[in-house]
This record gives sequence, structure tokens and C-alpha cells, in this order.
Amino acid sequence: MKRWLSGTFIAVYLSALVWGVGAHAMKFGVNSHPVMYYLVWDMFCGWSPYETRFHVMGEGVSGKYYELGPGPWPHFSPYGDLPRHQYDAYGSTFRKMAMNTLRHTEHEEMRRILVVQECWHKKYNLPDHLWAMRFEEPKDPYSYFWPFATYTGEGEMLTQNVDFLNNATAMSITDNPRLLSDARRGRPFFAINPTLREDAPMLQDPTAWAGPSLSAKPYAN
Amino acid sequence: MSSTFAMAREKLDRFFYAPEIPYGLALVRITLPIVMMSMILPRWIACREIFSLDGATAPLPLGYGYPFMFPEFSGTVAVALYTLMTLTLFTISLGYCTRLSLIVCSVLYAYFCNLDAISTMTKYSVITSHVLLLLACSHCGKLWSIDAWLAKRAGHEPDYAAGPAWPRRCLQLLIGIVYFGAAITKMNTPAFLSGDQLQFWMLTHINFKHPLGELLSLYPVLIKLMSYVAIVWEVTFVFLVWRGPWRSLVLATGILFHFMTVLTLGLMIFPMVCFSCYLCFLDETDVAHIREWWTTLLAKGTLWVKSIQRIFDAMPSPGAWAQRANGAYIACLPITLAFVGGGVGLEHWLDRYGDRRPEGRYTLKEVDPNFLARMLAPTARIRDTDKFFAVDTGTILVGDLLADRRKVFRHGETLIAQCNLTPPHEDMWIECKILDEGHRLVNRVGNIALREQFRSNFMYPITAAMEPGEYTLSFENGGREVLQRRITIVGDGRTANAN
Repeated sequence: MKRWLSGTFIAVYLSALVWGVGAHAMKFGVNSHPVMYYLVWDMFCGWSPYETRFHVMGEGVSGKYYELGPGPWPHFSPYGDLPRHQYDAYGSTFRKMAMNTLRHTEHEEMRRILVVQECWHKKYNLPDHLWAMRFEEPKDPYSYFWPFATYTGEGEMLTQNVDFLNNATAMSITDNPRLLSDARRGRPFFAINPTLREDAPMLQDPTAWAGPSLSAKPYAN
Repeated sequence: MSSTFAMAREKLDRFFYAPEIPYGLALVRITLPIVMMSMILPRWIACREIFSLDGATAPLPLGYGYPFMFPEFSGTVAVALYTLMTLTLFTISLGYCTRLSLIVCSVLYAYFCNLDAISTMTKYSVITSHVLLLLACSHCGKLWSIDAWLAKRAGHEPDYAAGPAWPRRCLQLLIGIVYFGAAITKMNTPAFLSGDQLQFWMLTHINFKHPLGELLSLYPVLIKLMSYVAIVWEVTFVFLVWRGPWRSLVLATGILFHFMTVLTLGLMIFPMVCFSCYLCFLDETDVAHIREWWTTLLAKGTLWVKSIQRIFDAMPSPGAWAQRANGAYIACLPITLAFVGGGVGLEHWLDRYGDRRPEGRYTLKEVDPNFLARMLAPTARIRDTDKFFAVDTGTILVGDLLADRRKVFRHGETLIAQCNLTPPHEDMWIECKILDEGHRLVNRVGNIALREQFRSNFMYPITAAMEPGEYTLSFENGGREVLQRRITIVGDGRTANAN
């Protein structure tokens, strides 16, 4: 019995590991279930040439802006000196974090909550002595600020944009009048977008960059 | 045919079921919880904020469309469970109620990781979850543990050879498959093999400090070479790690690889987890070799060896330990209750959110008005200078990367000016103008750089038509000057004619 159980365990366990590698190699069903996170070994998902930071702020009714991420208490830094919210690449918890900060602090009434993304080229991360080894021109760091999301003071979403780099990529593609004209010509008209069905799968409109959508938000669930 | 099948089956049987003393797994059991404490303990202070309804959780299943897969508890319950998990790390490492501790720890660790996809769940926590599960299935508590001493005292000599090898084999296969999967990821990432992504990773300031990475990012050829070595090693690991000289080579490469990720990428916990997992490759033969080596050292009588041996001698015998540990099992429940209760009380006293501070609750910090003005200004278009990483000059290309960066060129050589570009950038017309000391235009060459390109090379033969002296290379994008490079040309012209 013991032998039979252990044999089954070995077979199931190794099959699962092989399935994960196969699914990852063939790009099939990788995001089908949370368990896949335990079976897919995508440790090198890609690192962009730009460093990114997020600023979570609240705009009070007085017009003053306050930091909501991290909260005013000693912040937790998981992998160095950056606070936790800086590791949320998809921005799925900014609203929660902001509301948590508001729940545990004294503050005026908030008109809205803003998330601003800051990006700068990673070459400016080089320390000065290494910069001098590689570059002739003086170091001129510059940050781009991009409105990532806005929420009401109660945490309801008002706007959510793609991130700065995706937007910049889209801008570089739309810098082509012929392509843009073709894409607009081919866009269907729906009074109600089928992707807005409640049971529809998560979908990003692949032609969203061609212009404002006729009836849909960029993300629908 | 049937005999071949029978032989294969027998080999497989021996591979998974050969009885063995679990030296390797016992070492993994002792070291892994110590490594885990470096990630578990810092999170304990903030566990109310990270893992409870009284904070901001980031459940992993939410991203997969399963928002309610795991229950979320109140702050106090989350702290209690987290403290219990911390306790199990100690008991696992000491080998006290080992299997029960491993089961409890596996469940709680997977639960907490799943509640925090942004700062707790990583691939090293996934590997750790796998290892905890496999250790729970093993006999790792039968060696070098309180459980073993207690069993001895009760008159049951621990049966060291009773454990089948399969949990250790599964762990070894897991490590090999992890590397294989990681290699597939790299193969699917073209910018990895060109060295560009690794270069950007080395410049990323999101992990721990890694000054060597910043220095190495200046040498892309070396990075590219290391990328290929890493892929070959990752693919072959699972096939070569079992026996012979290859075993030592791939394991040594692994240790070097993970050590370099500390220095160049700022990874800390991942390499430590991998190092402790590597201990599962220790088998009875290795332990015998280590013992033999230790005996030889002892015979030589070196001072530090004798000192260590004295510490071993001073330790109580297993029997003595057993007597001191008398009643340890009975004490299990009150110890757990006291530890968890103490943890909950301490966390309450630390007052994470400052709700009970004498000066009142925290107030919000106002954003600096100057910084705010920059943040709320309209977003600027990406500057031309940010579409370029750097411009280098040299004469030798290796793997499309400039191998000899230099600024002095002789007649007869071919100058290569390499523009390193950084996406996102549009399709660009890049022009390289060569200007002499009087800033007069000597020549101009142009290239189209498509939006997916990371590099654009300009090749220019240095002939006698160019007088020796200082020149400036001016790089323009769409007619706008972006960067300049100064070069020096030496020679008397005859060399050029000879070539």
C-alpha cells in the first residue's frame, strides 16, 4: 500500500513538473490556473530599459496632496530599501493600499486618489565614476511622469491607463498614418461591446492603440 | 526485449526506492528553515498589513481570475497563524515533531505566499514550497534531530536505513527541471541572448545592492558570453548531475552561478535557497569522504580543526540530550500556545499602525509641491538622448557587439561606430556626421534603425583621405543632434595605401 502510494505520488509529481515545462515551452495554458505558477519556471520575464517607481497620492478637498503609499508608519521593504508597493508592476493593489492608509490615519476628506508612474532610463543608475568610463556627455537624468490610475476618495476606479512604456510603444507604432488609417477602417462598430459581458474572459483590445474605442474600456472583465 | 524492460524497471526501482540514510535531506531540513527565516521574520512585523483583512493583501489567484480562492482573516488571526509558521521553522530545523511541523509549515507557507503576490510570492518561495512538501514525505527527521534522540531514549534505535530514496530523488529532479524551465524562458527571450536584458537587469535598482553588476554592464560581450554559458549549464544540469566528474562540475558551476547572481544582480535569498537545496545531492559516499577528510585533518593536528573537534566533544551525548528532552512531546501544545500567544501579544504591543500611540494616530505626509508640479505636468515625449543607451567606437564586432572600445584609429582600419538603442523608440533615421577639427563636414553616413532594434552600426574605412588629427562623430536622429564622440586618427597615409 505504502509503495503504491509513493509510486502514485512520484508519477503525479513528476508529471506535473514536466507538464509545467512543456506548457511553458509551447506557451499553452500557462495562465490557466494559479497552480501553474508552481510549475512554470519563468524567472527571467524581461527587464525593461527604464526604471519605474509608483507614487500613490491622495488629493484632499483643500487641494493639498498627501502620500498614501507607503503609509506614514515604518514601511516594509521586501528586497532592499524600496517599499512594498513598488513591486506591484500591474498596479492591482494600489487602491487597496491607499484605502488602508486612509483607514489608519487622521486626514481631511479625499477628493480623489492618484497613481503616478515615474520612469527614467536605467543608464542614469550608473554611479558617476562608471558613467565617466563609458560616456563623454555629462549625466543628465530625467524622469517621465505618467498618470497611471485615478480613483474617487472612496476608492472607486475613475481611470486606468496602460503603463508609460506600453503607451510609448503604442505611440511609436501609431506614428504611421497608413497603418493608422488601415486600422481605423477595419474597426467594427458595436453598440455594446461583447467583451463587456460579465462572464467574458479578461481581454485587452489589441487595436486599442488605434484610437478611442467606440464602446469599450481597454480592459473588460 | 522483456529482459531489457525488466532491467530498466529494476534500475528505476533502485533509483527511487533504494534504502538510504537521509544525510542530504537532513541537511536540507536543517538549513532551509534558517534561510527561510531571513524572509519570514522581516515580514512578521508587517504581517497584519500584508496578509490580513486589516491591511492590503495582493492575492496571487486574483490575477488568474480566482479572486476568492483563499480566505482572508482578521489581523489577529493572521498574526497568530504567521507566528505559528515561524515556530514551525524552528522546530523543523531542530527536528522536533518534524513531520507535523513540515506539514503545518507547508500549508501555512503556501497560504501566506498566495496572499501576497507582490512581495512574498516569488519563484524562490515556490521552490521552497516544493521542498517543504518533499521533506514532509521523507524521513529527514530521523537524523540529527530531537525526534531521533527522543526515539533513542525510548529504546527505539532510529532505523537510519529505513528511508527510501524517492523524496531526495524528486528534490534532485525538481532542481534539474527548474533549471531546464529557466533555460526555456531564456530561449524564448531573444534580448537575453543578445545580452541586452541582462545588462538592463544589472542596472536595475529594485533588488539588493549589486555594484559588480553595474561595472559588468559596461562589458556587454562578457555578459553575452555569460548568458550562453548559463543556458548551456541550465539545459545540461538535469542530465549530468548524477554521477562521474560531470556531477562535480555542474554543481560547482551552480554554486558559482548563484554566487555571481548575488554580486551582479543583487539576489540574496534565491541563491541561499538553492545552496541549501544543493545539499540533497550529498549521499552516503560523500558523507564517508567528508568523514575521511575530517579524520585526516584531525590527525594532522591543525589548531582550528582541534578547536572544532573540542566543541563536538563538549556537546552532550545523544542519551544526555534525550534525558533533557524528556517530556518534550508533552510540552508541544503548551509551547505552541505560549509562542503563538506571545507573538500575538508582541505584535499588538508593537502597534503596526500607531492606532494606540500617546500622540494619537499618524497623520498623512504632504507631497513636496515642487515634486508634485513635476508629477502633474503633461507627460513629455521620450527625449532623443533616452532612445540611445550609448555610442561606442572600435574596430572588432563579436556577436554584433563591439569588443574593442577605443578612440584612436590608424589609417587602414575600419572604424565601427555602434549606436546602442533602447526601446521603445520609433523607426529612426540615424545619421553619423564626421567633422574635422574646424567643424567642417568630412563625410556623412545614415542608417535606418527599426523600432525593435537594439543596435545600429556605422562602418567607415579610415583612409589617407582623412588627415591625422582630431575628429568628431555627430549622431543625429531626424536631423536633431543627439550625441557626439571624439576620435583621433593617426598614420601617415602610406599604411593606408599599402592596405
